[in-house]
Amino acid sequence: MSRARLHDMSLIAVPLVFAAALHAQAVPPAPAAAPDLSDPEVAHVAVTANNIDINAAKFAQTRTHNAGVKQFAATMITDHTAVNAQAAALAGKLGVTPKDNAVSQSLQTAAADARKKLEPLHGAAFDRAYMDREIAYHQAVLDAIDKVLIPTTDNAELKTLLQNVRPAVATHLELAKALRARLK
Amino acid sequence: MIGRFAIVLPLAVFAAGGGRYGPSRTHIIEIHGMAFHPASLNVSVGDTVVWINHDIVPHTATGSGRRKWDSGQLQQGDSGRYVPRRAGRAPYTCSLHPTMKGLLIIGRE
Repeated sequence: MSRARLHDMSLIAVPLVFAAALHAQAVPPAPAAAPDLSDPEVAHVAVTANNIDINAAKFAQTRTHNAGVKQFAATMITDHTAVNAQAAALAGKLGVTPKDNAVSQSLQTAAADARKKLEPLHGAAFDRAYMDREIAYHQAVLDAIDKVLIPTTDNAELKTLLQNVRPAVATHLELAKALRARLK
Repeated sequence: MIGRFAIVLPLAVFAAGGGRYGPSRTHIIEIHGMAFHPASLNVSVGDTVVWINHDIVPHTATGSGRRKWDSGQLQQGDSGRYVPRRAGRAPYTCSLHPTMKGLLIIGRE
């Protein structure tokens, strides 16, 4: 997917961004509609996105023998757990209950598909596929934060949380690219 | 670790005033936006360097050169400290996010 295309995406494109990343397909189908996301729905999307990467990392820890990949997976678990704790604390403070929605469901479906593709892989092939997936996923999350989640969020504190999370996601992407470059 | 920060903070206030108070100074390095601020810092042997993490995710300040020290994981609001005993350059990193790098340039007392 080109950045120019991402720039033009509407709100419904969030699941397509993630799905395209997880399936490593070049161009997703054009979005059909553009429903807005409420703040409880944005919160649910954020928590879901974190949980997906935590679960992927936990699976990687059971499969990889590469020390670098193990460390990366451990960092993903630590960081995304910390972000979810902040999100839960903020939701409690604001009296907001994260609300399931089509975007979250799309993320979960895409994550399940990605997991199926990783399941049969072992050794270096698994490491490469997992890191490729992490690069695509974090790039997609970064794009979604910039172009959809932050712009569509009304609550100032939730928006600030998303803005504070952004540098961590960018660093994860940088780490993933550097590690992937070292894998044979 | 917050309690330790509470102890060293008054020294930092004196240090920030430009004068040297007592046998050593305390320097504060803020961690935010997945980076050390300042990334490079001039200190003296015996000074205390304090890292304060403001990020949502945990960080460490871990010696990456010949000097070995490790703050351990600093959660948001936590602080860690290091007192260099020898002059020279002391690079460090966050062990959780190795793209985060910092440098202490340690002069003689």
